[in-house]
Amino acid sequence: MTAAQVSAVRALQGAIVFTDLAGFTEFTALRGDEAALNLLSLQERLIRLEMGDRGRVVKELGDGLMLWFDDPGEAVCNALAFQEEFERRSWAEELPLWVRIGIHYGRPAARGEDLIGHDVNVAARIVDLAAPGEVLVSEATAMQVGETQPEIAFEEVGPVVMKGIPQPVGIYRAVRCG
Amino acid sequence: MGSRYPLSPGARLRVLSASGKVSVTAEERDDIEVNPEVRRVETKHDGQVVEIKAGSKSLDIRCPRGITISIGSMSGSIHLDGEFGSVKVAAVSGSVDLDTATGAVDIRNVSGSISVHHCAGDCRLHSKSGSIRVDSVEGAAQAATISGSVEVATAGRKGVELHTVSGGMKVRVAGDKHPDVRLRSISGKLRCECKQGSDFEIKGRSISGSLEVTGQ
Repeated sequence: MTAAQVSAVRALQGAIVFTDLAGFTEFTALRGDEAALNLLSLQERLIRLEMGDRGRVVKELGDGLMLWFDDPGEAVCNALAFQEEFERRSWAEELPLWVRIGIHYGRPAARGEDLIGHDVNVAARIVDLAAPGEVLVSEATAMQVGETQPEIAFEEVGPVVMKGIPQPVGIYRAVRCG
Repeated sequence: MGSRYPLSPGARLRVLSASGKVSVTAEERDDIEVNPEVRRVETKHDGQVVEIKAGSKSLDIRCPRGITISIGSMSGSIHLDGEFGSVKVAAVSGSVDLDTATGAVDIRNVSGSISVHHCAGDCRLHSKSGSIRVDSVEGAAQAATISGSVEVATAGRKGVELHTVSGGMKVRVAGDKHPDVRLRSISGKLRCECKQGSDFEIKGRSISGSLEVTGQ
């Protein structure tokens, strides 16, 4: 990286969100590339529609997306809303919109439109532990959201020891109250 | 003999392991014994949490029956023998085997299998590539796996919701219960051999795995 490129890196503070479409490889093998592309497009369209300008798509990652929200409360609220819409569409349209979502609040570095750094790696590891339909968040995210979103509760999943991450990360499951 | 640590009434046990097998036995006792001795055992939250950091050692832990336990592990198998309260495990690889839980169970394993003998509470299990087996669950059951199979035997008091992608799914229902069954698969075979009703709901979805519901 040149000195000019290094100086172009900015530190941000907010929530990194990873989504992952479970079973996408098998769906593609069964239904073909066009159906697979349509499924990916539907995932992205529903996310963009729900998210509006409260967050942004950082990049596409094969069968998932990386998103950014300045406000971690908005990130969790939106992620739960995504899951509710995915679940409704899955049954109504018989599509496997089985999306796993992981969220971490931190201070990634921005390089152009992209985000990099330790906190991005943590968020990517969290999504691996999520089941389809779930929103898992780091303890840092749950602490930040706290009681600012009274309609959201966090159920403790437990500490996770992650490869390449020196300290265990507390993981919580975000759910709607009631 | 390893090290012994006193335990406050109602205290929880937390185990963190980078690698190595973790065996925990719940039995009639009121303290915790750890073999071999580990340096990093801390009591936190006014004595309400005892945390054991195992590093890369294999550990044999003995604790009181009914204790609430959470384990975070990167690799190495986890074996929980005896009767626990609620159980939470987050592992990256290695199998997870649980004997009995009287409370809720939440086990996540990225690439290893999960086996639960008996869960009296609600049971939530997820493995990305390992198989999942529950011999008996009295509460609600949710299980998801991408490439592994899922087998669940339910008492039929609360709902069962299962996802598989390519692995097969089997649900066995207690004989006197009549579930409302909803099965969806893109290419897998669907089979329901128990009398349906409205006692509780079974939702099963797969992409290519077979889905089967039978009576016990």
